[in-house]
Amino acid sequence: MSEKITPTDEQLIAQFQGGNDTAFVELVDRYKDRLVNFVYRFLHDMTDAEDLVQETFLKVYKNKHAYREIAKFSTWIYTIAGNLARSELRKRKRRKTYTMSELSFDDNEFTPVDTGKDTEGIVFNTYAGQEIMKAIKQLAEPFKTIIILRDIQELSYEDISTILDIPMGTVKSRVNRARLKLQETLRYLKE
Amino acid sequence: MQNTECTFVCEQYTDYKENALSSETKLKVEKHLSLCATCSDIFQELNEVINNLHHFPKVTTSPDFTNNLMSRVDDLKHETTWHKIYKSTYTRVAGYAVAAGFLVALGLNIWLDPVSTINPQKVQGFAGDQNAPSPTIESLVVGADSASGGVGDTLQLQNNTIKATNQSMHLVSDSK
Ligand SMILES: [Zn+2]
Repeated sequence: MSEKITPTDEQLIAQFQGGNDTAFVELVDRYKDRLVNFVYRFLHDMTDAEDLVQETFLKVYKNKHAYREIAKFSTWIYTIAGNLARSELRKRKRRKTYTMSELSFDDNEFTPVDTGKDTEGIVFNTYAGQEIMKAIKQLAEPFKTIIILRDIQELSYEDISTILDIPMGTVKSRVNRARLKLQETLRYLKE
Repeated sequence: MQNTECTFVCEQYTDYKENALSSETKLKVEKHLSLCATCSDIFQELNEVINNLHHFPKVTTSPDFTNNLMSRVDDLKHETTWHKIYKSTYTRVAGYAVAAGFLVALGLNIWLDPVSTINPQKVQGFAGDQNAPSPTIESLVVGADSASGGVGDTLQLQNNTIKATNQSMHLVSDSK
């Protein structure tokens, strides 16, 4: 029996760049759930998360030639989705339904949460899971992003470094700080 | 974290977990953990939190996600075709050339033979009998109307070209 060789993401995007739309569909199937899990942690709304992932793929479709082989496809698409999520959060912030200090990484205060929307689509089977979700929601954006990328999406330091465009050393120290922040928030919530 | 040593040890958590510390630092951390209940608790809690995060419930896209996306892609392709047509410099230049040609032709026509352009009936008058009745006000008005209709057409054509250019700008900005 001959085993079918699975093409890499990079081979698929190359085929897609050459005009093969089936390769694009394959990439969609590979990434749709990963990406929706990623952006959902920011938006906390399944409909918004799906819309955003659709936008991400449409951007990939429209700008397929912007992808260069030097980068990994995964980091490229995560960067697109992350940027879209960030601008969506900014829009929400402007609409005043979202009041989170996003930009100051050194902000030690816990920030108020997005109160407009509730979790939809996720059923936590444990109390701990619910508590952690609540704590993540309360983290300032850079901490939250790094926790999502490293501990939920389980991406490598190298990939995170590419996606966030920060040095590896910074990624590592930020991961540790974010974890401590999360643990601190959990304690604070339990009190 | 109680003091600078506790702070230092907690800063090493991730590297410690990933076995990325020098043996010297590792020993220092382990020694501290064996003596400090606070840091030991923090490490324990962090282990649990991270384990939980790794097993976080996953959300999935709806079953019609790919179909919806591909129909949006089809819309996009349609849009892109028009975009290309409008964006094409050739089309724009051709549009301007046709419009300019029309204007020049009309201008020349008026300049060379203003009367015939305004009122074709007058041509008959010139070509034939000198005593032929001069055009009535009514016929002049009709003639002027038809002439202005011609100019109007040309302007409209130009407008169309401009509209097309605007549309391409709109689409270009859309695609950004
Ligand atoms: Zn300690």
